[in-house]
Amino acid sequence: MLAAFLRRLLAVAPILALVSLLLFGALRLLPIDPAAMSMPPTATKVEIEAARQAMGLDRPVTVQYAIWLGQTLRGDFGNSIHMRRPVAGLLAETLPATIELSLAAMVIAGLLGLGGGLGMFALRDRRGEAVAETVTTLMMSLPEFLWALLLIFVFGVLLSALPFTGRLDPGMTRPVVTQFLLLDTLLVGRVDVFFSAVRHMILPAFALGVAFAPPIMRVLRASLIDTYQEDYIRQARLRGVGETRILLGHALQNAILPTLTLMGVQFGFLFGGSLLVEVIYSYPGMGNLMVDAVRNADLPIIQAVGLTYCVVVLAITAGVDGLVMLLNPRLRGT
Amino acid sequence: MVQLSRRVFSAGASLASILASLPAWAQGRDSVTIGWPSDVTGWDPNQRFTPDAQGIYKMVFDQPLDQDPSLKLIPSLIKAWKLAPDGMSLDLEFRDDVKFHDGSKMTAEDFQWTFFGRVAAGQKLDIANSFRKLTGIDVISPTKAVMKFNSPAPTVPVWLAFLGSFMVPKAYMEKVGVDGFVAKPVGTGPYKLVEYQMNGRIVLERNDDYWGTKPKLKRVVIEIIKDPSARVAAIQSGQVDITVGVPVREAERLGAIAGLKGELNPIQRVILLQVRNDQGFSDQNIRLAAHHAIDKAALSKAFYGGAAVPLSLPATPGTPGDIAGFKFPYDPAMAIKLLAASGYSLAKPAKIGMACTNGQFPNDYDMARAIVAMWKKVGIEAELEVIEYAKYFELNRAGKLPETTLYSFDNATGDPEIYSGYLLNPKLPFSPWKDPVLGEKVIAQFNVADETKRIEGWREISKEAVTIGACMPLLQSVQTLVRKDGMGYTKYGNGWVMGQTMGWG
Amino acid sequence: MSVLRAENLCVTARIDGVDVAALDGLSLTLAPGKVLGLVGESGAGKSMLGRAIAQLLPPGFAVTAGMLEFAGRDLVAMAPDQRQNLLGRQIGFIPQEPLSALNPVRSIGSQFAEHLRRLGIADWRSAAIAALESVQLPDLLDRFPHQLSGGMCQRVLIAMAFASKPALVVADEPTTALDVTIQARIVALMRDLQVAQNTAVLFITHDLRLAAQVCDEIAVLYAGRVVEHGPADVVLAQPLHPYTKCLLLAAPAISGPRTALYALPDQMPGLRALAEMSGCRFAPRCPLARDACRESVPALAGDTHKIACPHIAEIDTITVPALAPAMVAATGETLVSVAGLGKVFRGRFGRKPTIAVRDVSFSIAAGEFVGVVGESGSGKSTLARLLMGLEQKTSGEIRLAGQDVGGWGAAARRLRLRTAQMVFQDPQSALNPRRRVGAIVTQALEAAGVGLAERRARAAEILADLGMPLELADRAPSQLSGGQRQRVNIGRALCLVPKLLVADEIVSGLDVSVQAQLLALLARLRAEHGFALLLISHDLAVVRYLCERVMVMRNGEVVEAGRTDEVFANPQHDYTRELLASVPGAA
Repeated sequence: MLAAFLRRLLAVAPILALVSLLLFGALRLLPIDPAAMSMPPTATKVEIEAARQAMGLDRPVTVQYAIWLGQTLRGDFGNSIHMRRPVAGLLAETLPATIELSLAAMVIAGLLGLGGGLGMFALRDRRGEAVAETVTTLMMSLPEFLWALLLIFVFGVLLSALPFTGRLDPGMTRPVVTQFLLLDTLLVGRVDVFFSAVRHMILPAFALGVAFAPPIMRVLRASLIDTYQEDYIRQARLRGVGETRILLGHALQNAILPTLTLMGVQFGFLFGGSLLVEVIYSYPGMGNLMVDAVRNADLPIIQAVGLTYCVVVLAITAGVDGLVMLLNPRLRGT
Repeated sequence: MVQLSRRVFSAGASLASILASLPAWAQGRDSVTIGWPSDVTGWDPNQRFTPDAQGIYKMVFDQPLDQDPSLKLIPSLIKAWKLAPDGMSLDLEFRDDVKFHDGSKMTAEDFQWTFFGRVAAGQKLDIANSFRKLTGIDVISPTKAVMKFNSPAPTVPVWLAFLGSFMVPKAYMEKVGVDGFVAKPVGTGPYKLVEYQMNGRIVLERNDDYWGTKPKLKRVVIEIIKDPSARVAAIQSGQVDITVGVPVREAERLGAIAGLKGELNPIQRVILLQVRNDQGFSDQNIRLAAHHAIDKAALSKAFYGGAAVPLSLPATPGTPGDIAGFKFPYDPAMAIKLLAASGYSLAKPAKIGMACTNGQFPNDYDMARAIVAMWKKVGIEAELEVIEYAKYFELNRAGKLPETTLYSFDNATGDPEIYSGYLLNPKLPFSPWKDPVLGEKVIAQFNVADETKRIEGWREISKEAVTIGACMPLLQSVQTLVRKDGMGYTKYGNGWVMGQTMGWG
Repeated sequence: MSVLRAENLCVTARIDGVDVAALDGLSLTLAPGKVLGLVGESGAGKSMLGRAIAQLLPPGFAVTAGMLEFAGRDLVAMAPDQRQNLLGRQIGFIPQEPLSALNPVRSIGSQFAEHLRRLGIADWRSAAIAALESVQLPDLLDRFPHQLSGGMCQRVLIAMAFASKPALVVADEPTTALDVTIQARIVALMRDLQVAQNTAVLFITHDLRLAAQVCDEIAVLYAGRVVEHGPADVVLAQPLHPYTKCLLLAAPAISGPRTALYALPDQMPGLRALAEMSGCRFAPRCPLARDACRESVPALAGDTHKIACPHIAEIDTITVPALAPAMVAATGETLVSVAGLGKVFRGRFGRKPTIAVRDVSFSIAAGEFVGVVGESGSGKSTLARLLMGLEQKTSGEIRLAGQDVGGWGAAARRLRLRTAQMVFQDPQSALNPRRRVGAIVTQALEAAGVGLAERRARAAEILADLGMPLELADRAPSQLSGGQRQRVNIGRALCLVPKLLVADEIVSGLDVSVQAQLLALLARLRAEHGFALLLISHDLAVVRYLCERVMVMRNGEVVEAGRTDEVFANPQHDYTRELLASVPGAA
C-alpha cells in the first residue's frame, strides 16, 4: 500500500508542472500590463519601462518561466506587485482560513449528501420521492454564490439570526498562533471566541456545502439501489438480518465507495468555489486574495494561488482515493 | 485543580452568555463598527495611493497638513508654513507635543525621513511621484525644516494633505525595517492599530496620548465588506453601524427603515468624459455637439436620485477652481445645428467610439449607455466598449483609447491643479487630449508660484477646455452612506469617514 | 410432524393482464432429516418454492392458493417479524453463486459475527472456527471473500447455514457454479452435516443424476407443476413420466453404452405462454401426447411414486438408439499441429506472472472432433484463444493446414480466419443486438464484400442447415431463445465453411433438452460439412458423447490425452480419475 501511495505522489509532480506551465503561459498571453499596474497612475512611461525591466517582464517567456520555476521550487514565491509584500507571507495568512472554511463545508456537504442520499433511498417508491427529487434538482440548480446571497438574506437580514461578515464578533480579539483560527481560539482557551468564530462560519460553510451536496445525494441513492440488487443482500435477508442492519451494515459500506470517489471530485470543485463565497461573506481567505490579484493583474499572487489550488485539489483527491482503498479490501492488492 | 475548574467555569459562563444573548454584534456605546468596501494596501501609508483607504489611514497616521470639512487647508503636524515668493522653497514649523504610538517624540527628522529619506534610500513608494520637484529637505531644528525644489512648486502644501502623505517614524522604521513596520505599524494618529486581518477587519483603539482632539469612541472596528449586497445586508441587520457605497436606491430604501438614516453626500469626485483631439473627434463641432446633447440633470435623477450636481467645469462647486455662473447648457437643438454645420444628421450620423468601466464606480456602465442613447437622438452614433480601470492607462499610453471615455476622478483636496491640471496635462497618463496648444498652457501653469495668479490661470484653462470641447464634465459624484440613527459623524466634503469624528447620541 | 409441507400451493403472477401460475398446485412433504430434491430445467419454477418459503417472491408474484407450512406453522399467513425470526435460525439458505453471496467489503469473520450474534451466541469466534472446521476450512475469519475460491465461499455459506442447527436448509443450485470436483466435495460435506444434525434439506437442481446421488426423494418439476415424485433411486432407474424419461435420455451419460441423445423439440414454455395453455403443460412436446392431454390437467397419482400422466404404460416406447463408436477421421491429414505452446501472462502491479498454458503439444486431423476438459483455471480457454489468435503465444508453434500462424501479421490472420472459426459460450453477448439474424450469419461474407443477393441466399442455406425456420432471418437476437441464439452463433461460424471450429463451452448454461438439440445439430453438420471441432468443456459427459479424442488439462498442462472411450474407461492419471469419479452418475 505504501508503494501505491508513493506512486501516486510521483504522478502528482508532472501534473503540477503542467498546471504551472498553463498558468504561466495563460497569464503572459493576456493583454494586461503588470508593470503599469505596479506603478501609481502618475508614473511616466520611463518609470514604467524601468519597472518592467526590474520585474523581468521584458525577457522571453521561456526564460521568465525558468526563473519563476526555479524560485518557486526553492520556496520563493516572489513579491506581490500591488502590495509589495512577499507572496509566501500572504499565502501563510490566508490559506489556513480557506482550508478551515472548505473543511467545514466539506463536512456539511458530506453529512447532507450522505444523509440526504440515505433519506431519498428510504423514500424510494413512496409518496415523498417525487418531492425529494424536485427539491434536490432545485438545490442543484443554484450555484454556490447564489446560495450565499440567499442565506444572507434569510438568516442574516430577515431573521437576523446569524452573522455574515468577517470571522469574529467586533468586540473580540483574534488570537494568532497557528493562523488556524478555530484551533488558535482553543489553544488560548477562549471558548467564547471559538463559538463566535463557529457562528460566523455557519452561513458561508452552509452556502458551499449545500451547493455541492445534491450530486452526492443522488449518487449515493443510485449506488444503494444498485447494491440492493446484489446477491449478498438477498442472502443476508435470507439469514434473517433486519432491513436497517442490511442498509447500514451491508449496503451502505458497498454503496459508499463510488459515492466517496464522487465526493473527492466534488470537494475539489468546492475548494475552488470557496472563492466567490469568501468575497460575498468578507471571509479573509485565499479566494478573496485571488479576486483582488486578478483585478490588479498581480501575477505573482495569481501564479502562487493557482498552484496552491492545484496542490490542494490533488491532495483532496488523493486523500479520498486512499480512503476508498482503505474501505475496499479488493483494491488492496492482496 | 482550581485552575481547571476556573477554566471550565469561565468556558461554561461564556457558553451560557452566548446562548443567552442573541446577536451581540453591537458593541456598546463607546465603539463603532464600520462596513467599508475596500481594504488598505498594507500598513505602509506612503507605499501606494489608495483613495478609498485615505480615511482609514487618517485614523492611524497624521498628515503634515490637514483639511477641514470644507476642505480648506489647515495646520496639523505642521504649525505654520510659508512658501518662498519664487516658489522654490517651503519653510515649515512643526508642533513639539506630538508623540508616536511607541512613545517617541515626533521631530522634523521624521518629516525628512518620510518625504525624502525613504525615497532616497531606494524604497519603492508611490509618494516618490508626488514630490518630483523636491531636491532635498533641510532640518534646521527638531521643529523647523525647509523643503527645496528645482522649479516652482506652489501646490506642495496641498500635496502634503493628499494621497500617501502621512508621517512615519524614522527611528522605529529603521530599527524594524519596512516589513516589520508593516506588521506592527506606528503612527501619530488618534487611534492605534490593534488587530489587522487582510480582507477581514481592522481593529483600532483610542490613542490616549493624542496631541489633538481626543476621539469620543474608544474602539473602532472596520469590517471589510467588498460585496455591495453584503454591505446592504450588514447595515440592515445591524451588524455594522455605518457603511458607504451602497446603490442609490438601496440607500433611499434603507433610510426609510426606522433606526437607520440614508445620506447622499456630494463629494470631490467628478464624473466626466475624457476626450481625444483627433480621429472621430477632430472636428470641434462634433465635440461640442456631443457635450450639448447630454442632459446632465436627467442623469443625476436617474442614477443618483437627483443628488448629483451637474457640472460645467472640471471643478466642483465651492472649490477655488470653480467659476460661479459659468454654465454649459443642455441644448440638443444646438447640438443638431452644430452637427449639421459639419454635414452630419440623423440620417448620416457622426461615428465615434466610447469606453467605460463596469463596476469601477456606481452606475458607470448604465450611465454610459444612457449617454449613448442621448447621442443617438441628435445624430451621433457611439460604439461602447467596456474596459477595466487599469486598461485606461495602458490604452492611453499606447494612444489606443477611443474618442471618449467615461471617467471618474477623485480629488480630495479640491485644488484646481489636481483637477484641470491632471486631467488635461498631455504628459500625465490621465489625458487623451494631446493637442499642444492647450497642452503647453497646462504644463506652464504647473510652475506658477503666485497663488492668486495660479488659481486664476487654472480657471481660464478650465473654461477654455470646456469651450473648445477638450473636456466634458458631467456630474459631481455622491457618496451613499447609511448609518444607524444614533451614530453621528462629521461630514467631509471629500467623503472622508473617520472614527475620530464619530460618536453616539 | 413434517418439517415442510406444501399442499396445492399456487404462486401466481399477473402477466399482461392475465393471471399465470408459476407454481400450480404444488404438494409435497419433507420429513425431518430427509433430503428432497426438486429437479427441473430453468424456468420450471423450482426457485419459486424457496422464495415462497422466505416470502421473498419477486414483485408481482404472490401466493394465491394452497398452504405452505413449516413445522406446522403457516408460512404465508405468518407475521413478517415472526418469519424473519425463523430465517437464519430454523430455516437456512444456501445460494447458487457463492462468490457474490458474501459482502465483499466485510471480512468473513465480521459476517459470521453478525450471524452468530443474532443467534445469541456470545462467544462467536470459537463458534465460527468450529463451524469452519465442520466444513474442513481453516481459520479464515480475517480474510475477505475475494481472496477465497468459489468452493471455499460456498463452504463458508454452508457453515453459516448449518451453524444455527436449523430444521430446514434450502439449497438452491448450490453447486451449479462450481467445478465438478469441488461439486463432489461440497455435496459430500452437505450430506455429512445434514446427517449429523438431522436437518431436512430441500435440494434444488437441474441435474437429475446429481439429485439422485444426493437426495432421498426426488420431485420433478415442469412448467410449475410436479410431474413425478418418488424415491430417488427409483425415479432415476425407472422414470415413469414422459418428461422425466426424456430428460434422462437427453443428458449424455459418463458411463454405460453410448446412445444418441433424445432431442425434445422446442423448449419449456415461458410464463407468458403458460397463460394460453390448458391441460397438460408438457403436451406440446410430449411424444405420448393425445388430444385429451390438452384439455384436462392430469392429476398427480400414486402412493410412494407419484406420476402426473395417464399414459405411463407406454413409457417404454420412448427410447434412443445406440450410437456407433465415433468415427475416426478418414483422411488422417493433419489440420492443426501445435508444438510446445506456452502462454505467460505478465503480472501487473507487482503480482507474479501467471503461466496459463505450459508446453502443450497436440494435433487435430481434418474432420476430427477433439475435446479439451478441465476445471476453471486449467488453461483450456486460453488454449482456444491462442489457436484463434486472440492471444499472443509466448512460446511454441501453431500450424494450421501446414502454415505457421503464430505471427500477428495480416497474412497469418487471413489464413487463420479462413481456416478456423470460433463459437463462444454466451450466445447473448456474442450476437450484436442491433443486427438481424440474417445479417449476423453472413457477417463474414459481408466483410469479404459479397453482394446482398448472394448473402441472402447463403443465409437461407445456413438457417435451413441449422434447422431453423426461414422467417427467423429477419428477427433480432432479443427475439430468439437461448438455444436459437447459440444456433445462430454456430451458423455464423460455419458461414465460410471453415475447416476447424473452436467451440468454447458452447452448451454450458443451456437446458438439458436444448443442449441435446445442439449436440445433435453438431453431429449432423459434421456429417454434412466434415469440419474438425475443438470442443472446450468442463462437462465430461458431453465430450464423451461428441468427441473421439480428448485432452485433460490441469494448471496449464495436458495431463492425459487419447481416444475418449479409452481415457474414460481406463484413466491413467490421478487427476483424470478424480474428475471422472466426481461426475454424478459415474459407475
